Amino acid sequence: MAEYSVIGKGFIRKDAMDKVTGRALYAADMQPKGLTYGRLLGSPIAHGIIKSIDTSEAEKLEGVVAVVTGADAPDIRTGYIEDRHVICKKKVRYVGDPVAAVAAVTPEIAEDALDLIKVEYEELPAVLDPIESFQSDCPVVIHEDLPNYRTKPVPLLTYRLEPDHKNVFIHRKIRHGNIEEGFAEADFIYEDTYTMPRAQHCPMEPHACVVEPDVNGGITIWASEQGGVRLKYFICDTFGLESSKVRFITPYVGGGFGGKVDLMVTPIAVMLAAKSGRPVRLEMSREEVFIHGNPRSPAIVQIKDGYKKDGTLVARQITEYINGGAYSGHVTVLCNDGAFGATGTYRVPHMKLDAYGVHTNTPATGPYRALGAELLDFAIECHMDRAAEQLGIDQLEIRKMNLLVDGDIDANNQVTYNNATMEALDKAAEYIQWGKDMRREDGPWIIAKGLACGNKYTMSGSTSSIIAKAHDDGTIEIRHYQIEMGQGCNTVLAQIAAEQFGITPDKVKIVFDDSAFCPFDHGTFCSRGTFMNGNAVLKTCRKLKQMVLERGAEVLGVPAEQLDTSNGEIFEINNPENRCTYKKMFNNGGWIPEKGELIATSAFTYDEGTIDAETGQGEPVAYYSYGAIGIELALNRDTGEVRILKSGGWYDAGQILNEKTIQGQIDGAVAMGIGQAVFEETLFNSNGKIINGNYRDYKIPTMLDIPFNEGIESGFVGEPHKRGPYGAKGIGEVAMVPIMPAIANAINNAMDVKVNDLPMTKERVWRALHSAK
Amino acid sequence: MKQLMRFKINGEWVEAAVLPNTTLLNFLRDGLGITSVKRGCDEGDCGACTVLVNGKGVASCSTLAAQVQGKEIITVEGLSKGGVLSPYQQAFVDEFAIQCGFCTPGMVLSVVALLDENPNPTEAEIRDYLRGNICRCTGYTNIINAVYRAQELLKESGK
Amino acid sequence: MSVKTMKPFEYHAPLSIKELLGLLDEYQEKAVIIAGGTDVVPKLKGRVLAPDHVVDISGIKELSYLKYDEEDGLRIGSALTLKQLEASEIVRDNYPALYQGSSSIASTQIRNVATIVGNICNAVPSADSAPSLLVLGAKVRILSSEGERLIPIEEFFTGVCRTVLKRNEVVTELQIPAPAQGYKSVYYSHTARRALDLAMVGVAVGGIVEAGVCKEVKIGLGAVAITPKRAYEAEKLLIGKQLTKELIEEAAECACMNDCAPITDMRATSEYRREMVRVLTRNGLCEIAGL
Repeated sequence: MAEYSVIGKGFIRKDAMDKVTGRALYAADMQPKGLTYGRLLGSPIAHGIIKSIDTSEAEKLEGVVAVVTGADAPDIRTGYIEDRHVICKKKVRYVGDPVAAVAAVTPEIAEDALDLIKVEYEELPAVLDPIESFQSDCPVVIHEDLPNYRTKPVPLLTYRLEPDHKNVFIHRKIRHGNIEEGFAEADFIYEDTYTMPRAQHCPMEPHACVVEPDVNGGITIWASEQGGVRLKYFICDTFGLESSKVRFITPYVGGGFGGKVDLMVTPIAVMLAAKSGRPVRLEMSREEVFIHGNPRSPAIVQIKDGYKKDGTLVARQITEYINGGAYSGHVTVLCNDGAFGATGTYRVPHMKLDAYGVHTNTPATGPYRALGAELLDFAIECHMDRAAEQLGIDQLEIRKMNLLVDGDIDANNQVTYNNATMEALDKAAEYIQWGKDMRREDGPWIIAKGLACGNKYTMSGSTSSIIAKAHDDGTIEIRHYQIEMGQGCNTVLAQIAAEQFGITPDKVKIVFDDSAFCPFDHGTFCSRGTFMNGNAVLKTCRKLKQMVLERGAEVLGVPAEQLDTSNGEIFEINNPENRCTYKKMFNNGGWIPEKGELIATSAFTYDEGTIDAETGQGEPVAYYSYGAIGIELALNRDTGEVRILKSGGWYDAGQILNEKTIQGQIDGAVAMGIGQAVFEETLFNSNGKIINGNYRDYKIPTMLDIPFNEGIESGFVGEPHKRGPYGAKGIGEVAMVPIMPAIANAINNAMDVKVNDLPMTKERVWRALHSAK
Repeated sequence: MKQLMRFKINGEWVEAAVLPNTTLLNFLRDGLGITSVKRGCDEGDCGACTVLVNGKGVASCSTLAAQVQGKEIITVEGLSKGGVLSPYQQAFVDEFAIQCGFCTPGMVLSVVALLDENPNPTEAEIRDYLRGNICRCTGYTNIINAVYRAQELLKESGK
Repeated sequence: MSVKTMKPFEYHAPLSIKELLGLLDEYQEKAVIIAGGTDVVPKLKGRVLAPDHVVDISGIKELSYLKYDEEDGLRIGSALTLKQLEASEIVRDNYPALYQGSSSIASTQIRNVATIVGNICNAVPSADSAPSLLVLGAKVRILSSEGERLIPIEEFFTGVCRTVLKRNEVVTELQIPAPAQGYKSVYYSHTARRALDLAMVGVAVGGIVEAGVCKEVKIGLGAVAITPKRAYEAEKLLIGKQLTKELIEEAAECACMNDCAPITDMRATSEYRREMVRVLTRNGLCEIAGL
């Protein structure tokens, strides 16, 4: 790999000082003068018609400044499939579906006012189960008008409905090779079904929004969202606002993990502020985050594999049912793109995939740190182990035989490149000493191992833009709208700019996430941030550097092409004595006659993808990141308790930009994966109400639930990516993909009766052990 | 009816009229503008709202403001002096023990209390003491490293 | 919904027991007592409780104590926090089940202000301190302006979140006798994750085993009935007998089949709870028997 002065090194986080001193501000910290407090009223039933709403008593309560209902909401619906009003107008479709909101001068008054709103419902039968909802004879239809809804164009996405299945809002297909021929070639066919539950992102910061109207008809919005400035334009479209009058600010975001991609409280806050003319803060309670936070779409995945006797995979048929909840939101994209989870790891000559996004009368679901890839990867990685067992082949070997390597054609018909999964898998296997002591017992504990691979695609079809400015003190300012939600984008973007200008990252000033100063970005999801914004920084810095050198040429009297810059100076390459500081290029006050300031802007756009709507064949994926993990764990035969002893993961994320921030993301994904493998699941009662919407009953790992530091290892494999900034790819999501199946596989390697469903709680594991007796 | 309260916050005595049905969390955030104290779960189950009351970590969301009458409260704003980070804060910076930052103020304060009670904790003791501070980003590894780093920095500074 | 708020109330912070009893007489059922407030404040915010008066006893110095002598045993004042309790070497050395029960609860932040008396007055079936108090023979000292009563912990709980406390009464103290020579105790909290959790099942076992013979035994169960309770039938099987593995299995079977009535809820099924009572009772008996 190339030698860099800044790239790759563990430079201190740009946000560390703000965050460790308490100066970092998050959306809910904003306190404009005259602030009022918003509250939501949600539907108590899962499905019904709103017959009437009486808000008169609430409006009369002293201290209430605004009450809004569906009648105040715009007629335009939101979503890629436009299926949702900002507040329900006629129908409610899940327990909690917002029917009204209140703003008052204190939170207590707002809460009192909610009790005074009278809503009459006509209850309709509800369907909570996605398989029931999928059936063509399902008596409940959640969106009668689904075929007539408008859709927003999304690159490489085909909206396909199934007229006989009225609750299916998208059907994604892959047809690669010929599945019948594939199964005919196979010596052995193995079929099974796997499920992943509705897991919650649990960002530590609940979703929040503050909206302040100004006297000129404009508004300022501070929002905790990861959809970024793109969401500003959604707001403008929904409310018919001029984009220049809306200032959209995303301060530091306290974790996203996919849960803040879609708009939630923001449009309702906009309605409250518009009605009262006063600033309002709408901050979700933790329980509301569990309801409205677009948790992971639960999925049921059926896989039928055909293998040759020697373990060569020849055919794979996948049917996936994705529970999108009551509104399709981002699940359209998830259903479409998540299919790449099945295409990026193994060589499958014949593949048939059908993924269905299905509505149910449960809260809307959405992306979760891998945007659907993890759903299929979990099923496939568990299935490979089962098939290996049936075939009498080692679980490591069956993977190695079938892994895609550079030059292979994948099931999208795309050529594989920059794929180092094989090396990652070898390292993971070595770390847990695969093949040695595969299952041993120690008192009530069974100690076992498991492996899994994973991939995460990033889609083609998006743009990031950057503004860069050279200051007279030699500082380079980068303005961007990638969301800093903990992953460290402010740090790595500064490193890229620093490398370009031959300075240290502390000489790069980051201005971020305010539409008044920062340019367009599509949003911080799908592991696109580093690749897209990094490339945009690179491109913009090159442009700015040219401007700096051209100005330097005027000052130093040498053509620009003979100049370079480092350490805040411009110098003649062949005569380094001839140099000047940036200060010399500017008049006092930081201006240049006639030119003004040195500011460059540009965008990086990746829209080279192609896809055939009927077969999924083409070149849809911009790039994949890859990984593999080895797990060793102990399982208690008496209680079903699982303790992770060792986790070792290796990843192909191309060139590493900051070795410390990337390690932090991986460690975090391991803990999150452990939680989801053994604890985490949203539970409902029979009426469709969430019953564990709090941090005591929905269990995310504490410090005691993950291995000690010596049991966690990670590392990197692979080459710099040919298109990435300095060769970098994304890491945030792929780190999360293989951990869950690796734990599941280790648990199943300890037991005779297999479990195909997450989470593998103590009781679920105990039952499997018990049923084997 | 509001009650007159007097307590010390980050070294300064404050007098304020507070409604009894106000949590310490809401009073600090909305009343005093001390926004480093975070609302994570609002039910005492996550640690993001931790403040030190007379040197001990307390969940401010589950404490009435009225309960701290006459007591001394420390938040992260009170740890750094004259723009210089305390060893605890510096350790979090050095070890990349910060990601989204939402758990960070509460976590740092819990580490202050931990090392005050037990200056040389084992990893098991660290994990047990900090078990009430949930972090969803870091996987905790770098936070453990930050506790060790803070011990070193405290020794260097002779505290 | 949304960020939760409390109904208005008046806050009182009496500085003496006398002042406290006066407030309870005056406000009766309109008052709720808090010490740390960690159970009550979330209920106020959820508006599950909406009292007119909140009486905070944490400032009453005469209730904040831990005393021990061999005659009277351990005395724990109702304003003593869990962390203060756990800091006592006497508790660690002589009452290991109590230490384990206390330290199983919630988090450092909660235990810094929460009290053991508050834990039992909250009276959830899963209260982690209750099974150990059952096996250690605790008594609850209850005071009102009308007088004082002392009742065994077994009689204190009357239902889910219900106790024998009358409207103007307050618990002032827990009394735990000094352990007899050779008395061992242990508590296991069986939780989904390893911290910040409520027990699916809690089992405490205490007793004296001499030369393999069970001289004395008590088994306390949590989260498997409407109140924390003793496993009397299992205890009966063991008293005076040689503690063999077979007998321990038999007692564990009895504890899980005859001594509890677990429910199925989102945390666990009744079947799994019963099985965990068996496993933990067995493990606890083996522990005190040194098997």
